[in-house]
Amino acid sequence: MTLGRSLPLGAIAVSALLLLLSVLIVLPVGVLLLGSVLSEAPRALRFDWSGLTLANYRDVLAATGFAPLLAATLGAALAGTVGAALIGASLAWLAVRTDIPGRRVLDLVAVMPLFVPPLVGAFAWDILASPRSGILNIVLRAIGAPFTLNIYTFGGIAFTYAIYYAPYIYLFVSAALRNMDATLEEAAFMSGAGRAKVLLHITLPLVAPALLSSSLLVFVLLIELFAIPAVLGEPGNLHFMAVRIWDLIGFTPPRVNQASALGAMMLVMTVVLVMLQHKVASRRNVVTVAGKGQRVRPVALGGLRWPLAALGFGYLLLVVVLPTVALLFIALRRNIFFSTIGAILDPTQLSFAQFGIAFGDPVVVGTLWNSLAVSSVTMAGGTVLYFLVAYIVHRTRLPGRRALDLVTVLPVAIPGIIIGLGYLWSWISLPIGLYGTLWIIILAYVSQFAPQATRAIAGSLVQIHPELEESSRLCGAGFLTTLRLIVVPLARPGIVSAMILLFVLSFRELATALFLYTSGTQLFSLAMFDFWQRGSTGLVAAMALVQSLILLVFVLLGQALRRDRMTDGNPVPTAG
Amino acid sequence: MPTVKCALQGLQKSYGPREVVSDLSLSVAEGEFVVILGPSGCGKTTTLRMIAGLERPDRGTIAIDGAIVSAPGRFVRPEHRAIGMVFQSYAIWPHMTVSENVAYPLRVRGIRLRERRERAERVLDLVGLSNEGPRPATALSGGQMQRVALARALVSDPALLLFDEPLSNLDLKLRERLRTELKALQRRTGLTSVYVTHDQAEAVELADRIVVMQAGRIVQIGRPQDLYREPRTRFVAEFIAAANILPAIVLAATAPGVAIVRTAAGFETEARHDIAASPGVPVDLVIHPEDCTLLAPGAPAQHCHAVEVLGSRFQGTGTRYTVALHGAPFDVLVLGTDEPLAPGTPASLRIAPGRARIVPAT
Repeated sequence: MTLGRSLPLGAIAVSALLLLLSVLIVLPVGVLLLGSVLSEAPRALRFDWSGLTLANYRDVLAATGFAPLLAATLGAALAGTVGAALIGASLAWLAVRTDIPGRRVLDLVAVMPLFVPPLVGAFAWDILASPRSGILNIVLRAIGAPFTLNIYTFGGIAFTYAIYYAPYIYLFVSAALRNMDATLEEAAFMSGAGRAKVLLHITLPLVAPALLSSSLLVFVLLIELFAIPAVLGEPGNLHFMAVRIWDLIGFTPPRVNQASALGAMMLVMTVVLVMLQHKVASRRNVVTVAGKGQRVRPVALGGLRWPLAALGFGYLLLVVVLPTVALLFIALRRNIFFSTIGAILDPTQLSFAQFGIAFGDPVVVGTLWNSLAVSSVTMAGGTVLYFLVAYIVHRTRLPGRRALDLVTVLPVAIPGIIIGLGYLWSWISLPIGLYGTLWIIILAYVSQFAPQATRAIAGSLVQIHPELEESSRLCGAGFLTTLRLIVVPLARPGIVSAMILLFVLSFRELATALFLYTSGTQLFSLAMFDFWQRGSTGLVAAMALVQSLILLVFVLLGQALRRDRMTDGNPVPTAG
Repeated sequence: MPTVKCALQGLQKSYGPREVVSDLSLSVAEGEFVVILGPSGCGKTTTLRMIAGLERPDRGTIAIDGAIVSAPGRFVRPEHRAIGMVFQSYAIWPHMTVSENVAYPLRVRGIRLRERRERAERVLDLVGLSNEGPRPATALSGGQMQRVALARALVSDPALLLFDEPLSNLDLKLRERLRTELKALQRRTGLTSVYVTHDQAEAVELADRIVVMQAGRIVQIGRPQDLYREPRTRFVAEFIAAANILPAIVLAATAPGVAIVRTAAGFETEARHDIAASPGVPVDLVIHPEDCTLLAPGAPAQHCHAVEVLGSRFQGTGTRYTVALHGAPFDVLVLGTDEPLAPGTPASLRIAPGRARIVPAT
């Protein structure tokens, strides 16, 4: 679409957006990288070049415990990824391709853990499976089981990773399975192959790119993850890179340059992996898409139907039911110390005191308002900003749009903790008064979630046939009128998705804000983490439930908004 | 001389290094139905989009009703060109009802709701969709969507109507019906129309004049009959209809525009031309299968040649034979539902006088 006379306006818009996004995304990371080779922390974007050194890297590498740190970080991420891939891919196949009972329900619940923040998951599993006082262990002891569970181990952490990150794999693989031309499988059956052979020779190779690409993505997310290792790693003396960066900043005086060096190393890993992932993902078009929407006969599981269904719903038990029960149980108790079944079931312990604090304590309530404010502004600002970016990238031929696209996907490869650290360095002492306000956190969130928001909106935009827009122009509507009356209404599903994503992701985020809050700008998730460290388990459980409930309500609300008269059953004519 | 409604002068457009439209000039008279015909990638859609204002020409000018809408340093945006356009994908907005779609051009011009409704209702009547106004646009069939698109293009009384392969997504029967309706509607409204297609049957039926394009250039402009009878190049001859094209050389020029030629297989005939056809020049001889017929062998008529049936394909309304003419295959279309002649049957081939034509050899 030619923008006509507004072409110079378009060029101005692209330059302004490029500049803005560079300041938001590229600058903080650049400052962090610079900081990693300086001996002094940068102040107000002024650098002491005389202190140019590689000593920070040397110190980080030579520190005792660096090898175990790296091994634990990569090892647990790898084990968690393999577990997540096994769970996610199996669930996807069961829900999409087989006659398993309750496949619709399975399809709905398989993605539910996405809405459980990792921090909440970690709390719940701490309550369930800490070696001494974990509820599951008390039950195991009561029934005389010869073993106990210990979540504070490598295996325990990898397990928690796997169950909470399996939904990412599920999303990719189930989409690939749905788009796959099912006649490819039927042709294999007609060639005489059995169920197992078809699965192995046809189905698996066809979804392999989706599986590999989503696994790489999960691997990256797990390497940079802060919440789960911070809660479950420390008690077992297991150390992880993200937690170590936080530790280094917590030193007096803070070892900021070393933290930057460690962050730079993490960044190199995530960037390389994300580039690899892009390469794999770009080959995904090999999967043949018939697009005829034909219904295929699901694979009959026979006698395995019910056992496999039990396994599928067992997963739901592990990620949703047990954790929720555990949090409810702790949140509703007077006393959080107990060691027998009898004490667990003691009805006199029932109390709503923790919820009273959660909703009555001005500090806690203040953090809730802060979080709601931050998430709402992040949502509003991010949606407008990334709608513009997605529109320019996907609907115009303006020069510079590819650069814009590139800058917007960069944060995929930048761990949240690195963004936080970079923002700290870039803005802490600039005299524009950002530090110590909620705005710096909002800007960091807007930067961090750029890829998710842009992708959601772009997904809807590219489905709008260009002729729908062009015909409006021919009908006499100008560019802005067309945007308002045609493009925005048609892109609504994507816009609403972006809004949900921005709100949910920023509301649950922890690592990014770790270095950016002050006493007046404490956020809800930060407060939860803080109370946890101080041992207020009951209050944390109540807050975790409140957080999950808010997220759930928001997601359901958004889903209702997305589905409206136009989208159901009659897809927007697609390009091509 | 009728009024010129739309004039293109020296249009040129490139995408990167690829020139898709080269030095294209065309004028469309008031009330005329012009069809731009060509294979995919010939630049026909780009030409149409430049008229619409959806693409900016690199060079050349476009004038509508005598006013320049596109020239170096001047560009009128599509919304200000008073053009109605029907798109290949229909481009019906799924979030609006049928009448909201149709009334949209009036809505963005700030016309009041009541008048909008009346005018939308009127054009919906015109395209045969009375009472369909309140339905959601997505509930329509492909053919109905095409009518809605047409109604929307008509509603604001445009100076010019553009069609971008509007029937190509429909099935054959519906396509033929809508073609007839479209032609009748255009006659009735007298709207100047430019229509782009790759389907020669559509072009021949709809057009007052056909513009044949190849590789970004106009190769021939003319009435459908002219293109059929007097193709200027082998490309036009092949594109406008499946013809017998036989390599030949000129033996002698008999009269202005007439020459005797001999094909490679040794068949000699008189043929019309408008090229420099001096003896010895290699040419292509074009004869349409529809201009030929098969008679009983040995018929003493003029313009007859002894042939032998090689094979036949029954096509419902007729039989398409391949016969051996001087040993080389030659197609003949015999209308009617007679039982086909068996392979090996001798026959007499009659070519209608004056229908053989030569074009420059390629």
